[in-house]
Amino acid sequence: MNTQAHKNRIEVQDVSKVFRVKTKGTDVALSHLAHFFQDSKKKSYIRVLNNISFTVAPGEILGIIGKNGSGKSTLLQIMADVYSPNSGSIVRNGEVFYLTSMGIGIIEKLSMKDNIFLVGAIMGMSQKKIKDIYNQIVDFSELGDFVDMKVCHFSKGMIGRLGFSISVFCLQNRMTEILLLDEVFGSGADFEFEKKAIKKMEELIQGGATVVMVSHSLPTIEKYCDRVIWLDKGNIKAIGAAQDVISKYVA
Amino acid sequence: MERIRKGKENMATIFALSYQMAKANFKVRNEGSYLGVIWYLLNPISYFVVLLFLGGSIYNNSIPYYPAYLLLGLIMFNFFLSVTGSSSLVISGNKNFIKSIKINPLTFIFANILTNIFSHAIEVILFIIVLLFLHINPIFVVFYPLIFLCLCLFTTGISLIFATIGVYVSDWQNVWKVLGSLLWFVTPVFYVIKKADSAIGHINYVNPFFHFLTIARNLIIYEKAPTLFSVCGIIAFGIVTFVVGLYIFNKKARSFAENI
Repeated sequence: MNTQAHKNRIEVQDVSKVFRVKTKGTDVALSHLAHFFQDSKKKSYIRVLNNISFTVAPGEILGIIGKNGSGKSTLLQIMADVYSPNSGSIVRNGEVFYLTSMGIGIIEKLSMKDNIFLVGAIMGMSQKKIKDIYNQIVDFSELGDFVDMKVCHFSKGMIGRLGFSISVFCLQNRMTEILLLDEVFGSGADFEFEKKAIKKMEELIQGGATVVMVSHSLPTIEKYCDRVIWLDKGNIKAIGAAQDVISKYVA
Repeated sequence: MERIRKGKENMATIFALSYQMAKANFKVRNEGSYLGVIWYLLNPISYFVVLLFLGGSIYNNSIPYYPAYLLLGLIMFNFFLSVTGSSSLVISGNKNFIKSIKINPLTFIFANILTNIFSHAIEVILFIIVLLFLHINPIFVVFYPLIFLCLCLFTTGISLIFATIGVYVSDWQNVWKVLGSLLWFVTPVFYVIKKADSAIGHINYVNPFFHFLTIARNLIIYEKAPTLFSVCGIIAFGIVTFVVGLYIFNKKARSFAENI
C-alpha cells in the first residue's frame, strides 16, 4: 500500500550527455550540399555530463552547485525532458515543471492583462483557471493601477514583479509534484517586494513539492536544501548534506 | 484507451495554447487597433492592382471576371507563401521557449498558421466585396471553408517539413524564397493555361496549387461543379502532405532543443 509514497520522485541513472559543437557556417544550405558530396563532415563533440546517478525522495529539496559550464543546467534540462540523455535513464514519478526565468514569454507590446493570460497559458493553465487566480496575481504584484498599460512602459522592477507573480501563482495552482528551479529565486524587484517574494517562494518550495534547485547563491542553497550535489566538469564531485558539500566546495 | 484520452488531452492543450499565441501575435502586429488590419490588405491589394493593370493592358486577356479570378488566386497563394515562408524560422525563433519549458513544438507551428488564418479571413471578406462589385452571387463562398481546409492541411504539412529543415539548415528561408517564386510563376495565379498539353500544362497537372485554385475558382466564381477526380486529388494532397509532415516533424522534434 505504501510503496507509492516511498517511491523516489526522480531516479537518475548513469546519465551522460554529449553535445555536438557547431563550427561557423556548418548550418547553411550550401555547406550541407558541399558536405553531401565530399563526405568529410568534421564533427566535434563536447561531453557535458558523465555517468550521473542519484535519486530524489518525495518532498526533498536538493541543491546543485558547481562552476559555470559544469553541467548543472543541462542536468536540470534532462530531468525536465527538454533534452534526451545519450545514455542512461530517468524515471519521473509525478508532474515536472522546469522554471528558468520568472515570467517566460512576456511580450512587452501587450498589456499587463494580456500578458497574464498569455504567460499563464504558456505555463499550462487553462483560461478559466487563470481567470480564477487573476485577481490574486494582480494584488500580489501591487500593479493594479497598470493592468491596461503595455508592459514596454514598465520599469525593470515592475516587469520583475509581474513575471514573479504570474509564475508563482501558476505554479502554486498547478500543484506540480516536481519543481526544477534554474537560478530562480526572488523577483529582481525592490527590497520590499523581494522580501515578500522570498516568503512566497519559501511557501512554494516548502509546501510539499519535490524541488531540485540550481543556484550560485550558496546561502540560499544552504538555507533550503536537504542535500546538495557538487558538479564538476560533468561529474559528481560530492553529494551529501548541504553544509558538508558546501564547505568542501568553498575550500 | 488511456493513450487515446491522453492524446486528445494533449491536442486540446496544444490548440488552446497556439490559439492564445496567435491571438497575441495578431494583437502585437495590429498594435491593438483595427486600423492595423489595413496593413494586411495592403500586400494583396497592391499585387492585385498591379496585375489587374498588367492583365488588362498588356496581354489583353479574355478571362471572364478577371478581377475575381486574380484576387482569389492571390489570396490563396499568399496564405500558402506567408505560412511556409515563416515556418522555417518558427522553431529557432522560439528557442527560448523550447530550451526552457516543456511545450510541444507543434504549438508554434499551429500558432503561426492560426495567425495567418486570421489575416486570410480578412482577405476573404475583401474577395466577397469584389464579387459583389462584379455582380457575382457570392453564395458559393460557403464551399470555400472546405477547400480551405484541404489547403490548410497541405500548407501545415509543408510547414512542418520546413520547420524541421529550418532547425538544421539555417538559411532554408532563402532557398524557399527562390523556389517559392518559381512556384508562383508556374502556377496560373494571374494567367490562365490555355493548352492542357503544353509543357506548363503538364507541370501543373502535378502542381497541387493548380488544382486548389481551379476548384475554388470554378466553384465560387463560375458556378461550375468540380470533377470528382480533382476533389479527391486535393483531399489526398492535403491529407498525405499533412501526415508526412507530421511524421517527419515528430520524429525529429525530440532533438530540436539541442540543435537550435
